Amino acid sequence: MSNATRLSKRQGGSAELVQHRETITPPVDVYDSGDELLLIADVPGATHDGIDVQLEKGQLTIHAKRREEACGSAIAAEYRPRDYFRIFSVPQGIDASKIDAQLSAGVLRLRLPKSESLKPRRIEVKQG
Amino acid sequence: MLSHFDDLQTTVTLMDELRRRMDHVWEDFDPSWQGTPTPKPRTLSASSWPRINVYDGGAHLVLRADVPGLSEKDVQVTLHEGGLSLSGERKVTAPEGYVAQRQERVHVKFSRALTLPCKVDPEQTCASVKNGVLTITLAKAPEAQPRQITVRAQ
Repeated sequence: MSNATRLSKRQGGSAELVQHRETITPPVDVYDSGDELLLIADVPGATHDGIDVQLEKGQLTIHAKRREEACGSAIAAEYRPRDYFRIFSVPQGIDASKIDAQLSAGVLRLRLPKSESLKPRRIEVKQG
Repeated sequence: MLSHFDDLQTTVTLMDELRRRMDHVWEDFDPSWQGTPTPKPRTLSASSWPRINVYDGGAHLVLRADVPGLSEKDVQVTLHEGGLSLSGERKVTAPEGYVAQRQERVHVKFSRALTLPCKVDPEQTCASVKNGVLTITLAKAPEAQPRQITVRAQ
């Protein structure tokens, strides 16, 4: 488990309010097609507007908020509904503006297209 | 999606529960579990997926389970005497033309059975999947519902 701590200025007060939400690490699959990387993460309970994906200094950060209405008191619990948080180091040469994110049925799919310099290249062997 | 099942599934339910607990028995003691950014290799078996929460909402019992990637038709819910069971399969396959570099999401054929804490009305039951979360709402049988008792002054 990891924790995401956020600082925000409190209105009129001198001290800062610390908002603390516990997060869990979602399971992620990573696939490579040569032209792009594909990340698939299980984030059940997350909605479109609660997902934040950022690429900065070679680090891809995925933060997904889980939103569910309460439905009574828990009488048996095998899991706790938590937000999701995960960081990946991505190779240089991923175009941040072309990253495409899709969410369906609690599964997040991220496509990270590679730039020309990162794509595998076949080298022709010439006859001497 | 729902059907009746008459039977002696209580034993199966208990066996399942024991198996599920044994699957998780070391998690509490594993120090590497704390603070590591990557999850340890998953050894979830069919008896512990999906994890289920049960809530008591007064007149209803609500069951919730995380089933990312599944839709209503992928989960079979069976209601039987005193219990409920879930089964289905979650497939995880590499998309065409892609090579897997890391696979943490589980491919699982699951089957879970649980005993319900009270009688429910099988006619008033609904199940839905939203954002990868399965929610089953079971109306409690009239005799199991909370009752308001008025205190009269003498």
